[in-house]
Amino acid sequence: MIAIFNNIKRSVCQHTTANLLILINIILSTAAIFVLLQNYYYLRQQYNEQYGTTNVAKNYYVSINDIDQLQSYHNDLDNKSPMYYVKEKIVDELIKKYDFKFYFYCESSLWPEDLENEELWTDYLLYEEFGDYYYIVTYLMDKNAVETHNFNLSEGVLFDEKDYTSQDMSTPMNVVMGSNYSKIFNVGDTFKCGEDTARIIGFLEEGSSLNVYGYREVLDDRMIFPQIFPRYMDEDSILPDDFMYLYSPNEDVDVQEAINTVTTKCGYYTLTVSPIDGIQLTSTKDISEKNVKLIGILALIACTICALSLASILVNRTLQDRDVYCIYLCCGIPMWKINLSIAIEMMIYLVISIFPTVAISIREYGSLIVPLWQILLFAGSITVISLIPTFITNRKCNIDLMIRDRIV
Amino acid sequence: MGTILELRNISKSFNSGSNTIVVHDNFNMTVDSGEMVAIMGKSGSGKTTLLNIIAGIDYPDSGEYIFDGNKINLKNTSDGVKFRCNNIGIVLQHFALINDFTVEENVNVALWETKLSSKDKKTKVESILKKCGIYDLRDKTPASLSGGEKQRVAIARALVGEPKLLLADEPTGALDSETENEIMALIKTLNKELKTTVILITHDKEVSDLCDRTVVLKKH
Repeated sequence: MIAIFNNIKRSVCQHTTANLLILINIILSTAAIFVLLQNYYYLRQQYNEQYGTTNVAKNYYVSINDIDQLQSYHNDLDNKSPMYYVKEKIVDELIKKYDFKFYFYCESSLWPEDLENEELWTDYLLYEEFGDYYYIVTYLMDKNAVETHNFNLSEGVLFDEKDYTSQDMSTPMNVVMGSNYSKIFNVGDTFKCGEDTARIIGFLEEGSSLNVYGYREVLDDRMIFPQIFPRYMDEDSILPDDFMYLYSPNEDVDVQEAINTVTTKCGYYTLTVSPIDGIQLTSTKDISEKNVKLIGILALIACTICALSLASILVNRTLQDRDVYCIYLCCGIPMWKINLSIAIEMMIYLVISIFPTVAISIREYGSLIVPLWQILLFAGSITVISLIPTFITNRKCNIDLMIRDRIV
Repeated sequence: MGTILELRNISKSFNSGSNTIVVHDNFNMTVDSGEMVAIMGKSGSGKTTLLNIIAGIDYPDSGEYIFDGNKINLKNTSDGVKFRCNNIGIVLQHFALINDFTVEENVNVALWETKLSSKDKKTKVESILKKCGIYDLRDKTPASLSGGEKQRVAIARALVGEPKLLLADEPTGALDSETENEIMALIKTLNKELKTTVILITHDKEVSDLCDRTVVLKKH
C-alpha cells in the first residue's frame, strides 16, 4: 500500500498540468455523458409514451375531410361511376394486403312506444326535457363492428348473419340491450320503436363499452342493433356515406401510410385516419426511433473521443514517468502495483469529476435525473478504456530498458 | 567464505534478423560471498547480458544459475522482481534517481516493499546515508547534487535493503577521475563493512584493480 500511496502522491504533485487536463477531460466527459443520457432517457420516454406498441391504436376513424371531394364521392357512389369501382378496388386491396377490417357504427336515438311497464322503463331511459319525451341511445352496428368489439353477453345471443341481411320489414328487428334492461325485460321480449318492432335477443355484460373517440362509452343503458341493408344503407356501399371505421390487427402497420400508398396509386380521394383507441403509428415513429439511435450513437462517439483524448494524455504522462517506474522495478516494486496506483489515481479524478455534474443537475432539476450509477458506469468505462494503452506502455518498462536506453 | 553465486554452462544468444548472435556459450563463473568482482570486456562481449541474467532481468537459454545455494529458475518478470527485491541491489551508470524525491525519499523507495515500520525504515535510511557520507544532503533533491553525490545516493538506495549482492553497471562511468576514486572507495568500504558481495561492470582498469578479482569477457 505504501508504494501505491506514494506513487499516487508523487504523480499528483509532479504532473500538475497533465492531471489538470485529465480532470477537465473527465469532467467534460461526465457532463457530456450526463446530457446524452438525459436526452436519451427523455427521448425514449417520449417515444414509449407516444409510440410504444401498447399505445398504438388498432381502431381508426376514416374520413374524407375535403367538402368538394366528399360531394364528388357521394356522386360517384350514387351514380356508380368508374370511380366507384376504383374505390371498391382500393378497399379490396387494403383489406387483402393489410388485413384491415372496415366497419361502421353510428349513434342514434329511438323513442320506444307502447311500453307495457313504462314506469320501470323510464328509470333507464334518457329524458328530453324540451321535447318532453324519453329516448334510448342506440348504436347501429354492422357485422364487422360487432365482431371487432368482441362483446360478451350475460344472456342470449348476438346477431347472426341473416340479422345483417334481412330486408323483410314485417319481421321484428333483433336488438341487443345493455345490462340494465335485463332487470325489466327477458330475452325474446319485443317493443315498438317507431315503425319497427324490436325483439331482444340478448343482454350485454355489465360494463360493456364502446371506444368512441378515445372515450369509453359504457353501454349498460344503451341498445345496439344491426345495420340492415337496405333498411338504412346502400347495400353495395362498402364505404358508407361519409364516415366509417377501420380496424388494423397489425400494430406495426402505418395505417395512414398504407391508405396513402393505395389511394395515390389509384388517384383516388384523400382518406384521412384518426386513431380512436391509442396513438397513430406514423412515419414519425421512424424519426423518433432514429433520434433515439442517433443519441445512442452520439453517446458512443462522445465516449470514444473522450477515451482517446484521456488515453493520449495518460500515455504521455506515463512515458514521462517510465524512468521512475524502471527505478521502482529496480527496487522490487512489482508492475501491477504501479498500474494499480495509476488506476486508483484515475478513479479519484473520476469521483472528483462527477461533483460538478451532480451539483449542476441538483441545482437545475432538484435531483439527479440520470441515476448516479449510470454516470459512474459510463465515465468509469471511459477511464478504464483509456488506461489500457498506459498498461500496454508500462509492460515495456523494465530495468533492461533503463540500462540499455540509459534513462537518467 | 561460501559461494554466493554460481553460473554453470550458461549460454545465451540473440536473433538479429536471420543471424543468431551467440553472446555466451557455456559460460561458467563463481563468486564467493563478500567478494568484489569486476567484469571487463569489449563492447558486445556480453557484460550487460551477464548482468541481466544475474539480476533476473533476462534468462539464459541453457545452463544453471545458482544463487546462495538455490537454483534460480525465474519464469516471469514478477519472479524476477521478487528475486531482485530480496537479494540484489542495482547501481547504474546514470544514477537513476527520482528527481521529485529528496535524497532520503529516493533511498526510502527501496524499502517500500518491506514490512519494516516507518521508524525502522527511517533508522535504516539514516544509517546508510551516514555510511555513504550524504546524510547532510538528505533533504535535497537530485537536481541540486553533483554526479558523485548522485551516485552515492544510488549506492545508498541499492544497499539500504541489505541485499546479498550489489550489481553495479559502470558505476563510475559518468564521473570524473577524482569522484570515481571516491565512489570506488565507498563501494570498497561498504563491501568490507557490510560484507555485501559486489559485481561491477567496468571498462576502467583502475576500477578493476580495486576489486578482488577481474573476469574478462571475450567476444564470440
